[in-house]
Amino acid sequence: MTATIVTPTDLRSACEAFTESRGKVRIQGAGTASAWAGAADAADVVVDATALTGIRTYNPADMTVSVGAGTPLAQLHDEAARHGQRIAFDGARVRRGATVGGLIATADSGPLALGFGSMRDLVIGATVVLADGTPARTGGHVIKNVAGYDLAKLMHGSYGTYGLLTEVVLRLHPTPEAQRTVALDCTLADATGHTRSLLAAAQEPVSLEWADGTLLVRIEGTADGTETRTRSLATLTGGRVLADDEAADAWERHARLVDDATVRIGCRPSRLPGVLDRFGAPAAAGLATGVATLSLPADRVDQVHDAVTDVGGTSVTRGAAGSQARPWGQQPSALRVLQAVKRELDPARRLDSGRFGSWFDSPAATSEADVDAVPESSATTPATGPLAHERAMGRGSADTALTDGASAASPPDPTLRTTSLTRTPTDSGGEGPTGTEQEDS
Amino acid sequence: MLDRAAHDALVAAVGSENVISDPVQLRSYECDGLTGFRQTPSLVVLPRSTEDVAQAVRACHRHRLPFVARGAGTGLSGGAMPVADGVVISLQRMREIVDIDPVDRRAVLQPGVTNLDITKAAAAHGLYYAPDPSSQQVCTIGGNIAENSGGAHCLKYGFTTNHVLSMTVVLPDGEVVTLGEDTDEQLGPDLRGVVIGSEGTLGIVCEITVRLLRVPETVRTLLADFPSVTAAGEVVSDLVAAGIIPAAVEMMDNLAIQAAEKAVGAGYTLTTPAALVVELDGPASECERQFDQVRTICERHGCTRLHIAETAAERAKIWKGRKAAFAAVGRISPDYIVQDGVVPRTRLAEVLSRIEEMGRDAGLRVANVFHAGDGNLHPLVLFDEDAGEMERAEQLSTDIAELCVELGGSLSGEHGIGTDKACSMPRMFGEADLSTMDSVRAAFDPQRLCNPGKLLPTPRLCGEKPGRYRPHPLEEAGVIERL
Ligand SMILES: Cc1cc2nc3c(=O)[nH]c(=O)nc-3n(C[C@H](O)[C@H](O)[C@H](O)COP(=O)(O)OP(=O)(O)OC[C@H]3O[C@@H](n4cnc5c(N)ncnc54)[C@H](O)[C@@H]3O)c2cc1C
Ligand SMILES: Cc1cc2nc3c(=O)[nH]c(=O)nc-3n(C[C@H](O)[C@H](O)[C@H](O)COP(=O)(O)OP(=O)(O)OC[C@H]3O[C@@H](n4cnc5c(N)ncnc54)[C@H](O)[C@@H]3O)c2cc1C
Repeated sequence: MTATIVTPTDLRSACEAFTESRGKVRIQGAGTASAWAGAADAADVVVDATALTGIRTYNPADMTVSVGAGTPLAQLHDEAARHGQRIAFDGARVRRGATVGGLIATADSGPLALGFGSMRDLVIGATVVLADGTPARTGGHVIKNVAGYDLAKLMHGSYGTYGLLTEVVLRLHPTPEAQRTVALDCTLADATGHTRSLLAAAQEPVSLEWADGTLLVRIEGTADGTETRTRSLATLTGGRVLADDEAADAWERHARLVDDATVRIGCRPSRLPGVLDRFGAPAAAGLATGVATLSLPADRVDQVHDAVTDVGGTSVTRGAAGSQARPWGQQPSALRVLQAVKRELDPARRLDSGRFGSWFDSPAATSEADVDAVPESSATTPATGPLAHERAMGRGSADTALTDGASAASPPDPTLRTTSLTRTPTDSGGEGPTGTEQEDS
Repeated sequence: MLDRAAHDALVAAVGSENVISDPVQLRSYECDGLTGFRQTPSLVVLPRSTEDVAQAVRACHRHRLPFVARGAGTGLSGGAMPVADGVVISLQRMREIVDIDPVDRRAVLQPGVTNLDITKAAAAHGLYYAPDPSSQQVCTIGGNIAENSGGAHCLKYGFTTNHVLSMTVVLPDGEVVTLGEDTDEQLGPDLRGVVIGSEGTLGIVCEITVRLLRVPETVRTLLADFPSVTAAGEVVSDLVAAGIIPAAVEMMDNLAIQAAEKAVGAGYTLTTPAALVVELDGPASECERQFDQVRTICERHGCTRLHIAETAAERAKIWKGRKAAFAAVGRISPDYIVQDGVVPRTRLAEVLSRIEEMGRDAGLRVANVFHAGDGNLHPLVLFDEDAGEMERAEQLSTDIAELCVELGGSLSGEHGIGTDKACSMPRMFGEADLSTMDSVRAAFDPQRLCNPGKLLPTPRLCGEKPGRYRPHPLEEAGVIERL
């Protein structure tokens, strides 16, 4: 099957990419994470987000910027730097041209996460086009804002399965006057010990990574302050303050380790060294954040999944793992909710969710709560697809596409809502409102 | 009234000693901090464990009873106001600090733990919990999560959402799930981030793991008086331009200063038109240099008095005045409404002069206390109910919130939408935005039992046509589009 590639350039054409197409859709950014997590399914349409580019508004005095989601973050870095500001994010693939939308959709992060968090913590607003072509906004243009649900968070880590990010509003930070890195060649065990004392010393490193045999600690701030703090850290650890070009090389080496990894893991920071020890593979590890990437043969990745699951952590394949390994370690506890959100936002299942492996293939087992509330007969009532369908049509703009999409795609799974609606009469002894009424009120 | 079967199911869920059905006692749950909205619940249950909460929610689900979670009831948007013929699930008996882990720097908490108690428990390890709403002595971590609460120090450190790692949530059908992970490395889309700030509409948050931060090496605080609110505002802009992110920058206008000073005697200057509280924290070597810069910037803008806190007690006194400001307004006016809106920081001066005008037109006084660093205003509309000013005051307050949206900001920076502003939501969001939010709500709560009628506008609350959507200014300027 050859897919049609659609390349929207603005919000209107992004909506049309959905309303004027039919069948399965895959959203694609710059392609820097194309082999992460599970394999994308075959698609009828590929929506290429890379032409949704450019800075829409940037008012340096407000320290916020809105950009097309297909804008490479590196490009935004350049523009912000002209105003003494930056997006405090340094995921390894930024330097390979990763787009803002792609970085959000993959919940990526870099060494600066220790000081500034991930994209999740920097996004303050977004426009998303849903699978039926509905454009929806969330958040806004101000840093502090609690009006409505924060749907940008829902997009963070969604791998293109809930909608297409078209525009993103980010918060900026001032570029620090100075940056310095202290390096120390040491074993993982020593690095772990140093991490504890460093964190207790209130020197506030913004990055702290063990890059396969070298502990790298980055300090930022005023010129004087940074000097003082790095010197005291060097004394504390027996490490060396790197010259600027050495530091750039050291972090480039770290980024390459991340690029080459086969699996990304996260667990309680104190449990991370134990997991890394078991595999002895080249790793870039945030000893203070608990997030690490490992490079080991694809046929060993499943063992990593198991080891990480054992300590309550998360894991997902990266790049070179190929299809030999399971894409994800443990499943999310709230998988049922993720599926229900999928049914609400994309009832016709047009958007590809292959990156999540089998998570969205079939509904998760009903919860204990359901079992206790639902007599068996009504739990197995066939799905009333049209209900979910009608609801989505109510959004207006995309009736045709939705109808087409729905008939092209496999019938929706029995929905959470449908299940509970069908059981209404049984549970309330026929006295309660009917499901449909509840839905409409 | 509840029917017998529903009542019995709830008693069975939590035990009769944890149920309140006495009409007089029920009255004390009729409102939150926004006392204008009242509704007596049919029943209050006070679970003692996550399992109790789950049982209570399952009983509600089975009997199709709407329910509302309640923390300390300090919310200022009517979020915890009960619904008619519904149940209140109070988390006040779940106040255990389950674990403080100094190595991985995190705390595990039951939802009824107060914000300040987290920091108190962590202090022994040199750690603290960063978000610090002014109500921190009483408000609960569960309520903080529901509102994504902020505080004076959120400019530098972020809001509740940036500090919660994971939480156990009882979904509206009684299923118990965990959202979030041991680290920020996510397993799929971030549902934790959706539930934080969802105002109790997507489930009941039970066991919570928050990040703790290392207490900064140094804290430096100053109080500076200015000849005008505009001059104080320019200081804030210059701080930003100099690349300084203070831990906090708070502004008060003269009315607010008078009120605070009357209430707690914090040493503020009664006659000054405006004052700023600026706080820096961090490693000593950073802090001192930047603190000097702050002083220079203050002086450049005609600062008339600069008071630097030399001791912890002096610092506490400055903050006491600021944190008491809301309640203190009661000393200078029989009644008042606390508003909460946000504008881009660069529009502070403009919004303040517009507010002044609007107050003059309405014949009402407005006091201003705000988190100047992030443009979060708390205009306090003063009025006298006995003089029949209430309706006018409410209108003015609503107009101010909607003005913030018009200026490119938000209806709420931290107090939430709740019952109070649900009908204003169409000023900020279009139909498709709101229906998308509603779809997400349906995914969590298909039966609409969990805090119904809050956050999103409903015809019952707002009439068939809740206020018309006004195009966003950026939209008018052709910067953003809406189809
Ligand atoms: C048989 C086959 C052939 C392929 N051929 C090609 C090819 O010719 N060219 C090519 O570039 N790729 C190709 N791919 C890779 C595939 O199309 C992409 O891997 C996939 O669509 C993910 O996007 P990305 O690689 O661009 O990664 P990124 O841009 O890093 O995106 C990563 C994730 O983010 C999501 N995403 C990106 N931008 C947005 C956004 N704005 N809004 C919401 N979600 C977003 C994506 O859906 C993806 O899940 C092929 C794959 C297969 C299986
Ligand atoms: C004097 C004063 C000063 C204030 N200052 C600030 C400030 O500086 N910053 C700020 O952000 N806010 C401030 N507030 C507002 C208020 O204190 C916060 O919104 C606080 O987080 C509410 O917590 P609570 O425990 O009182 O919640 P409640 O008022 O009981 O409930 C608030 C909302 O949370 C829901 N809820 C409560 N517990 C749970 C739970 N476990 N699970 C799910 N939902 C739940 C309720 O249903 C309701 O919708 C202030 C209030 C007052 C009165």
